[in-house]
Amino acid sequence: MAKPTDLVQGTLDLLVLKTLALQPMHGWGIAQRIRQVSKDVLQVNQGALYPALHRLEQQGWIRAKWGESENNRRAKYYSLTPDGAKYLRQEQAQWKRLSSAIGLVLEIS
Amino acid sequence: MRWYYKLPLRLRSLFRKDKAELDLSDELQFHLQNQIDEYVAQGMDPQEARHGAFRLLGGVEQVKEECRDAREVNFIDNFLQDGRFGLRMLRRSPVFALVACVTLALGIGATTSIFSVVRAVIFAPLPFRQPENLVHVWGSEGPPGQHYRRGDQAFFSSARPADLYDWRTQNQSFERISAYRKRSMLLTGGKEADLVDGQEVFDEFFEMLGSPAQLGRGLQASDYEPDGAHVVVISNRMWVQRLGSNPEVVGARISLDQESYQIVGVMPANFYPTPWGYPEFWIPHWANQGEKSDRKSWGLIPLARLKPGVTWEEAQIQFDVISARLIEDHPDDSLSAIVVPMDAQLIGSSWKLLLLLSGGVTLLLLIAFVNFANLLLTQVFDRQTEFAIRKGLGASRARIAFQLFIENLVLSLVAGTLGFGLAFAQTKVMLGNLPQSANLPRLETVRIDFPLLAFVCGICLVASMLCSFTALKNSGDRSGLALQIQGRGLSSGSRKRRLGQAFIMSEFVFSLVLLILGVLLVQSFVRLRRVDPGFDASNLLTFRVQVPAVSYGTFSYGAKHPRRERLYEQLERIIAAVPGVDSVAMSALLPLRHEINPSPVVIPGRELPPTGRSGSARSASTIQTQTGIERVNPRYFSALRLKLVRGRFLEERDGPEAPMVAVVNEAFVKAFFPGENPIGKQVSVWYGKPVIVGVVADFKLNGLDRNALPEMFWSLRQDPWSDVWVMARTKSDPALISTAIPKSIHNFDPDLPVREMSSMAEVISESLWLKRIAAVLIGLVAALAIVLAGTGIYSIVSYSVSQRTREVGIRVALGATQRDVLGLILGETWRLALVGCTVGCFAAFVVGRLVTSQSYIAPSVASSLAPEKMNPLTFVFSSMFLCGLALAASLVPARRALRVDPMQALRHE
Repeated sequence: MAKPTDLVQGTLDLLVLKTLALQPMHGWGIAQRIRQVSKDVLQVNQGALYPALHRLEQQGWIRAKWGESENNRRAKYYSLTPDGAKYLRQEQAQWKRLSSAIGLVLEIS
Repeated sequence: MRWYYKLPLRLRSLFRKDKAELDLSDELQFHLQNQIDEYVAQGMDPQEARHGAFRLLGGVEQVKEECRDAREVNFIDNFLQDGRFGLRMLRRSPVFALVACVTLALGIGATTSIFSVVRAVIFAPLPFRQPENLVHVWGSEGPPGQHYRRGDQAFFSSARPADLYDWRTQNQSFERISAYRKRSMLLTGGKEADLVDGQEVFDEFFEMLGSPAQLGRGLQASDYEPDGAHVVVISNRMWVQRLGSNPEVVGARISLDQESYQIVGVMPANFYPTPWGYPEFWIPHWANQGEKSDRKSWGLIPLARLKPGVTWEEAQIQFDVISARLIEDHPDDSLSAIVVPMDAQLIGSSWKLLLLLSGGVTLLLLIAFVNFANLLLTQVFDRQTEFAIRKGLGASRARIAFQLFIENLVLSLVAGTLGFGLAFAQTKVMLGNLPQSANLPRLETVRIDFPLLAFVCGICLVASMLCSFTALKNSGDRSGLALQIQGRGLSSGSRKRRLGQAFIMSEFVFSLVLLILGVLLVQSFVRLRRVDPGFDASNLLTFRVQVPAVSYGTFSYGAKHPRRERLYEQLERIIAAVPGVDSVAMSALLPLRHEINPSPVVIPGRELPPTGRSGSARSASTIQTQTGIERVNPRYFSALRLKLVRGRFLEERDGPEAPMVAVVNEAFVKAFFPGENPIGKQVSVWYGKPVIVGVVADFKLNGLDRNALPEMFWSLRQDPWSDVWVMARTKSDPALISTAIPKSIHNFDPDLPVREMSSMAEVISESLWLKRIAAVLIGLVAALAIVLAGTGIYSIVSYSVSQRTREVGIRVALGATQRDVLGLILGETWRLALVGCTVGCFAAFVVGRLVTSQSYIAPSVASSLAPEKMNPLTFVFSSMFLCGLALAASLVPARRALRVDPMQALRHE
């Protein structure tokens, strides 16, 4: 198996927001989900995840609420705010433009 | 915005910190637990799974710290923590904190109070529309460009209506030109009749100044219609003090000189169109027919507004041309014009004193700074170990710098608060002690400036920050090693030493300059107090009797005033009859209180001495062609106990019908009749052509520090002045009869106001107010500076000694004698002191020269600082004093170094 790709700086926020757009989730769940969806290609650096979550919360994109986890533990669930959803749409469009542009450049050679 | 999400979060982070912390650790705990479960499920043993989970997360505390950073909690938190820590450090060294604060507070207080005066008097804008375009226009008899000169001062004269009309029609530099005339009128209808000073103003006066009225309006064109209604504009002072600030005052009527005037407006308190006195009202001047050629009615003071873009120098050039033409038209009674910018006129020479004081307090502030900086630096150096440890534990440089900044902020705030209190008290005391005759304009508007205080505190803050950062920078590079080598150095670092040396030097220079200036000023003040005025000033009660025009006729120069003449004779008799009065002297102006305006002297049958007509016009001639004229009663000479040199004094027989006679002083004889007998000679001065009948010995009329100038004494019987000053020689203390005299004058005529009563001794001491205040303030500043410099030098040297304990120990161990050790410590101070003295003396000399060199000089300040009076002994003794102080300050720590036990010093660690 190839070495899991390090996340490009700044893309972690995007991935977190996208994951939370599907359903409210706790930190552990977010990390698991990203790994599963990317088929183990993207490995979230756990040390970076929580500061990122707190930063997003501080910026008002997401908000937190305590709840019960699947295994009956107290967990902090994050969910997307309307502002966060808007922000995600913008960032997503931006990312698509960027990646397709990079794709085009790579095709040529 | 998303503030509704953010705000609760922020607040929670701040105020529910424990809860937020708990949540954070719960959240991470949940994560770890899940990870461990996963590892266990993969078959790891629980212990290993735990380690793995922690490894994967990368350190719980680090993650927590990053989360806190992400929440921006840390900034506030650090701030509070550093603040607490800083305060704790300050509490640990209270002496340091106290000394630093008091030092700074003294500097801040003195600077703020002086600068607030400077700001109000000099820098506050004048209360007129575009004040930079306003000028005074003065008259000067004789050809253009030639000033009256008396001793070292230029004199200007008032103008006459004809001049105003000539200038108005001919000079194109002005948008408007108007004039005022002083007018005292009897205000009746209040509790008691009172003579109030006001101004009679020509048309366009208010339009020219262009300041809005506080209530109602200023005078306007319709008010100048001949035989229109009587209207008056009153000052804020009259409105507040005499009319009870009645808001309905516009439209009310007051009675002036027994005629009813309608009030049309109130001018604001800062409306100050003239540099002297404070007019209480303004009434319109009604032009009359013959006025355009009236070359007799002196006393007009024209003001003008320059056209936009025209400078006052250009206006002056145009005036010189016009004046030359007017002289040809009216060769006997022409007047040249002199343009003086309004601000220069209003501020006058007071800026000289203020400049001196500002310079003084700035030096004081610098000394305070140096002391403060030194204290901070020693603190920082002493705490190098602490910083090194904190750095080793992971504190960033920024964090340490921030902590220092907080400490300094606390110090500055405390010092600023103290300084503010000091400034407030100082200003109050200073303003309270100014005599009435103090000619500082706009003192009422002096306020302790909050912006100024903030500015000074800001400077302190910046200075202290710079100190901290310098210290950090000096120590920073080696701070990693500091832990190991702290205290092991043989001697203190050269950098530290150089800084200390620079501090000692600057303290030396600043305080020496202040000391020398202070001593010079105090010396000249003390010298002046001992000057003999030339007349007997003891037991003289002086006061002024104002004569209302309404009962004794309007005054004009050179006219006959039989009613006034009789009044003065009667007054003399009434006052002389008061028990306790020995004799009565009367004069138009009071000696040592008023400058006597000069007039040119023409001696029939003799050419005018060549004047400064050629050459540069502005540097007026120094040849004495003028004399002062004083109107006195015949008893004046005997009552003041003046000495007759020649001929006779004025006598009662020199009455209104007798030929006009005059007594002159010795300086007059020297100027106009050198080597001749002046008795019996006739001279022509202004409107009089008296015959000289006597010569009186010179005495001080214009100021104790002025040399005798030519003076001429006319009889009040022959030329009665508008009002009169009385000097009553009393048999005992003049204060005893100070109520009896006004009472008897009141019995004679209740409408004769008696004003400004004081003893001659008080008049003399008031005449020295400028000197006194300069001497006292600079003296105090200098004394303060010496104390600060002394403590500063002491603390620097003692610190350096404590740093060199090891070095001294080694030297002693190697056989250095006590002398060597003393020489080591004192030698350095001594060398610095010598250099400091040289630089300081030079600086003091330059400052003294600067203060005296400008052309707008307050003669009384300038003369005491004049270079020829800069006594070299003062410089020598001041330097020696400071050197002694420095040596004494370093002797104490040096003796401590002597007691150093070599064994102990080597073990000292």
